[in-house]
Amino acid sequence: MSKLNRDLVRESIELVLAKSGEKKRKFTESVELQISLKNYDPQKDKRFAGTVKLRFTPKPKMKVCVLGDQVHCDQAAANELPCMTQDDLKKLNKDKKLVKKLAKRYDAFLASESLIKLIPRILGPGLAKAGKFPSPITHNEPILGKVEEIRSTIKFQMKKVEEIRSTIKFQMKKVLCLSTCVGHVNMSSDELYSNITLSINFLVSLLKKNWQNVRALYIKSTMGPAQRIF
Amino acid sequence: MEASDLVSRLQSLGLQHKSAVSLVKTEPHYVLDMAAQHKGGEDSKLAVTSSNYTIRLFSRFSLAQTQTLTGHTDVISGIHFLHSDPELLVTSSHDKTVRVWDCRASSTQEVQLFKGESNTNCSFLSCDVNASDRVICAGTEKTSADTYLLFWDRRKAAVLGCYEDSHDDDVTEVRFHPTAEKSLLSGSTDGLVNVFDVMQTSEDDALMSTYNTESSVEKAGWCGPDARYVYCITHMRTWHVWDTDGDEDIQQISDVEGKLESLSKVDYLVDCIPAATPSNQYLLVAGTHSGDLHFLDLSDSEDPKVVSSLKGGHSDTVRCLHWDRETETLVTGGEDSLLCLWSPNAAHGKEVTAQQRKVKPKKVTPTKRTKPYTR
Repeated sequence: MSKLNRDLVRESIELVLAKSGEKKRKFTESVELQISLKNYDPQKDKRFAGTVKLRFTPKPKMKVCVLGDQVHCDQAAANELPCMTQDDLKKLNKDKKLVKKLAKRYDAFLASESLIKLIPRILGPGLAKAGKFPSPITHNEPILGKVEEIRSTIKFQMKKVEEIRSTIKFQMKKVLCLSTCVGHVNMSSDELYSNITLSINFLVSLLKKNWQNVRALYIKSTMGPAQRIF
Repeated sequence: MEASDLVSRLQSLGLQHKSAVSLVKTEPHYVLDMAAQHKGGEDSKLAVTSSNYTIRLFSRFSLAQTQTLTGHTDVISGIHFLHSDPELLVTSSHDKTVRVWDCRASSTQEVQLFKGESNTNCSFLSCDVNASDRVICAGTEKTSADTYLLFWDRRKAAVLGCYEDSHDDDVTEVRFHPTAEKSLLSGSTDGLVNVFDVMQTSEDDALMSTYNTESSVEKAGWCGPDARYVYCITHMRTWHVWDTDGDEDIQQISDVEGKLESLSKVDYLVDCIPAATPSNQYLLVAGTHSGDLHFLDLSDSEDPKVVSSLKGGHSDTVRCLHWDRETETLVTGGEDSLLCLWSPNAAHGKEVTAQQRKVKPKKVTPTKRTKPYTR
């Protein structure tokens, strides 16, 4: 079903990696996938949004904090993950500034099932405001696996981008595109290939007319030029 | 009503009537959302919004169009009838207004208009009115940094209050509890479903619970016994149910279509039919892009079953539905700009299978009241 050209994708990945290797940056460039849609009207068609879990972690440096009960805190400590107990959270005293600070310090949160129900009461809406409300974790799953899952899950959402063309009359053209991070330049091209095809196939499966809704696909590194793959 | 009864009633549904919002073939206007009067009864009205910015009123049981309300200048995102005065209708729109319409009055002029103030003046993606009709709530699109839940007292034009911290992205759904006037739920594309007690003075105290779908909320509502459960459908076709009282997760199904047998294909989830029965059964309605509808029984999370299918009505994605418990009829609206009325006594079409034709005989159990002299 996939309309991707295998060789073209491989070639483009190599090109992206080569271009990014030319000039050293002070940070690890990430690899992004950009999709532009057609025959899609954001006013009336269903929204195109959600999350994808990739096979290889695109954001390995993401800091995840465990808000846990005794069992989870012990596990977190054993795996050298930052953790906080219910009492630690209560000390923040629902103070907006302190909660904001906590949210800023980490990229994501995990919380024990027993504790996650209490979080709105203990912390207020602060974590939700920051877009970092914790994901639940049970005692049955290994904590490291869950952390890895958080790190390899990417979010995507269609946003209206208004592009202004400077002709004599200003013309507004609504371009439908979205971009998500699917990896980084230190990954091998096989890993990138796997992540890219996985996310493309999943995103396309969510579209109403599947490949007929896709105008173009590009991949690029943060600072590099875009390579068209579809 | 027994749980199995509801299933058998749904199975006996057949297509009775179709009605089009627009007959223009080139680019059909989608039917986006609908609401029916709470009072029920023969002359009950159905209000339908479509992508040409109009609200059309139909008779709920014959789909005869009675009126068109125009005034909104952008897509209408939410529509609900008021409870106490059945002729009043509240709508929210991307044109940054929430309007109240009176079906008896002029069809081009709303009776009330609500707007946000300065920084809260943004597009509305959802609205609802609470059980006592006092408070109107609307959820906004994310502006530069904030996203708001705005409240109005229905008797005044000024904004009553505003929650701004509980969501991080567009609020796609707000729903008041059908009977408890203080309970409100909100769903957003940040993946969270929040439950509030709106009688509390501050947002911090009002926030009762937060549920994380780790996806993006498309629809949410109340279901289960005493409408105690919160259900949610996401843009990735996942299904979630939580208990607001017991604080327990009832059900999470991440790939409904994957768990079904291969013969019944499902492309998306439409909505849930909450059965107000002591048994906590609810049925999920799912569909295909070719217009077929399937009722799914999710009582076993691992093995969802198709209890019935409706075919031959729509030819495109179905967007909204309304189930009337008393008359046991279903109205659906879709992207083919059609409304379909499904009723149990309609002539059965070709697609009806033997299994669907089977209607369980109703058991009549004599109660004490029917025999007043035997004791």
